Amino acid sequence: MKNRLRVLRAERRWSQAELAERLGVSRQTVNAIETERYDPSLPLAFGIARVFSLSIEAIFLEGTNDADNAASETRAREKVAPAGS
Amino acid sequence: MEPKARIDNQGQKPTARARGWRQFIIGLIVYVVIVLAEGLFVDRSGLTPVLGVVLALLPMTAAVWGMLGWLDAIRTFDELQQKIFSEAGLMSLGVTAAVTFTYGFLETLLGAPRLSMFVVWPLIAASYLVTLPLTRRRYE
Repeated sequence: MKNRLRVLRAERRWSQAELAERLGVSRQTVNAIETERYDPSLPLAFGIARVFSLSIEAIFLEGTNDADNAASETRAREKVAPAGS
Repeated sequence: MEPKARIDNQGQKPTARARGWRQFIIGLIVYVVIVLAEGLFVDRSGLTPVLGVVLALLPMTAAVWGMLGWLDAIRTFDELQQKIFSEAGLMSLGVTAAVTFTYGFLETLLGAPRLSMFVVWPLIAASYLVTLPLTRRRYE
């Protein structure tokens, strides 16, 4: 599953270790989620959403093909910064 | 704000993890000591059946206690670490099954020397040492 974790973390200037500590997981887990080698459980996804003060849909992007992902990413960006704001 | 539990670089709670590993290591040491003591000091010919069963089970109580510590330690890991340990464990069981079945066929068909069941556990442990880093690499 695609996600915007790396971008969101970079925006806040957090290291992977820092984010891992906030989430109570290992740095390897953060790295695996960022590189999309591992999809987090629902409780951890909620934890990530809480840490970034965003909804889960604004971080994790549904869809399996590029078109779906592009549409999903656009929707996620609109949730973070609504159009016209 | 609720204070955060201290987490080390493996996403684990160090105290609970250390307690679990300590129990595991002590359990194994006690197991080895009991096995050696029984081998050195117990006269098997003079044992009653009940005492024989008790002495046979005694080392395993220490081993099971140690394994419970191992489980406690693993339960302090985060979800990805637990997944890695589980996958590696399943792979090592598969490797052990393949090796023992293959050797079993060699015993039957080619008359290879019979091996004790006691080689199975070291084989699981040895294959685990290989499957764990391999599984870990998949998520790096």
